[in-house]
Amino acid sequence: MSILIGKDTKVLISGITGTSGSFHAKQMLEYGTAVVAGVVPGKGGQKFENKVPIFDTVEQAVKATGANVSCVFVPPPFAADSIMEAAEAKMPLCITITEGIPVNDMVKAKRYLEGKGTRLVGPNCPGVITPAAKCKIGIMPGHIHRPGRIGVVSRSGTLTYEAVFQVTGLGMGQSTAVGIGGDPVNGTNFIDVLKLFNEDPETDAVIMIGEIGGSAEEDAAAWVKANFKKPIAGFIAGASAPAGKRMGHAGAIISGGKGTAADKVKAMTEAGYVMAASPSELGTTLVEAMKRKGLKV
Amino acid sequence: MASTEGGVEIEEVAAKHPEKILKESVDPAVGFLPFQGRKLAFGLGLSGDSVGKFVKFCSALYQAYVETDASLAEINPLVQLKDGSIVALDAKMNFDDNAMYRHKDIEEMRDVAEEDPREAKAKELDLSYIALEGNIGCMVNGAGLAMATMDTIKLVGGQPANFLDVGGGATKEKVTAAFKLILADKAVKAVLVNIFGGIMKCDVIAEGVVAAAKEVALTIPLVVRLEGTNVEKGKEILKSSGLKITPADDLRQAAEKAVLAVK
Repeated sequence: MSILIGKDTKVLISGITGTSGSFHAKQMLEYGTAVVAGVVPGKGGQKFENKVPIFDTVEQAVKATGANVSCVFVPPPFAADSIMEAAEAKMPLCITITEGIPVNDMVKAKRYLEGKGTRLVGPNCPGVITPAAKCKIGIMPGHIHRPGRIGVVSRSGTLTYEAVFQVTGLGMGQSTAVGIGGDPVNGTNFIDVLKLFNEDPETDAVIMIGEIGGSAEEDAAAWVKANFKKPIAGFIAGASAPAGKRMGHAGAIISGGKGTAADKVKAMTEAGYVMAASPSELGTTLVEAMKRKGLKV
Repeated sequence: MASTEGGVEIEEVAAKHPEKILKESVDPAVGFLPFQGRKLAFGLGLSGDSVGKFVKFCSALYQAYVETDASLAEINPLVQLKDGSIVALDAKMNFDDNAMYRHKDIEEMRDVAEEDPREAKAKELDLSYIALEGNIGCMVNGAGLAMATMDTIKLVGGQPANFLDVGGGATKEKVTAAFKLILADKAVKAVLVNIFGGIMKCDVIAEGVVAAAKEVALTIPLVVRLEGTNVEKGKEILKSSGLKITPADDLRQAAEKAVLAVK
């Protein structure tokens, strides 16, 4: 077991012939991911790396290959369209890596997805990986992961890698690591992922990494306080960020005094998270959280 | 959002008199609807001809907001004349940077002189950079890790000079450009490079850092923390470079060494 993706996952990559799409498609194939189709309008009938069939539309690709997860690499002006195309083809999961999609496009795409039964992860995220199933969908470095029982969820890519690397270094591994992305309008949020980890019998404990801006961490903390049963460690990036400045990620901004790291850390601590003061301590903080709940490490 | 209490800190009004701020949520599938305009108009205490005029005004404002990919469209103050007409006396609009490719006209209005010159330069180089007040320059890959690096410098008693995300690639060219940008800030007394080598391996990054440091003839202390694949090889390259590079094993240690270097 794992969450979101596993051994039955069959991936379709939108934008498989683009610079980053092709590079990462190769990495995913090398890792062992079942990449069954690519979608590039106008290139239908061709093959990627002589093995993955390319289709003109998502609908054709799904019909021919039974792909059940879409991974979107197409450039920002066309990315929201690809997300909606995946939803129209009734794909259960769409993981969008593309960074820089206009907010207005995402607002429309998110509205379009309502009631369609398609879960969106991202955009502007590193993707999702389940090491035990050799299933890597996204841009994360596969080899730092190792099968295990720790769940990781984060708004930041490189901080996810830090957490994963430390967990692996401590001799543990990951059940699934999920990047939910740094955009203000995204699909899957912290609570969605935490619910799945809470119910996953193969996840023992979780690391959640947030950052300044918005109230996703406060919302997650309130949910965790009431519902989450497993040990959970946390970190918030941006304690030193000046107000009113967008810190790299579109969603990482303190506005009107809201979205500060101090507020988030306070809410999470009160909800029972064990908080790391620096990302260097993500691994050891997780161990502390597990010990406090009486788990053997 | 609409309020009769304009002209003051709206956040303060929101905190003390939340009932004085009227809010309507727009469904992007259908846009701003006339009934929502009427709810706002009557809520503000308008009557007679002004109601219809206000509704039309709101619809137009929403249209302008959507069509320009604005992130904010604010009219303040909005006045009602004796004849019942509605007039905007001032306005402020912010725009979504990610949508500027479809608004060349708005992009042309950008006044670079109004921006921090280093931040403007960074934009040109496709680097994500924000100038700060401190003296430890930072170069990091990833926005989250870049923020966390600044946080850790502060945590151990130092002051970061900037936020800088060199992006996933961290190639020699990008690192060189980033060094130049950081060193253009004369307050910078040391540089901390913190890179997680994932897809791109640490030895390749180390070579890039060394080549870049040589190219810009770096004279101030350089603390480098690399982590990830081939980290030992990477450290070896830094050590044998002949440059005065202080290696660090983790972020906290790197921050401590950088703070020590500027003391």
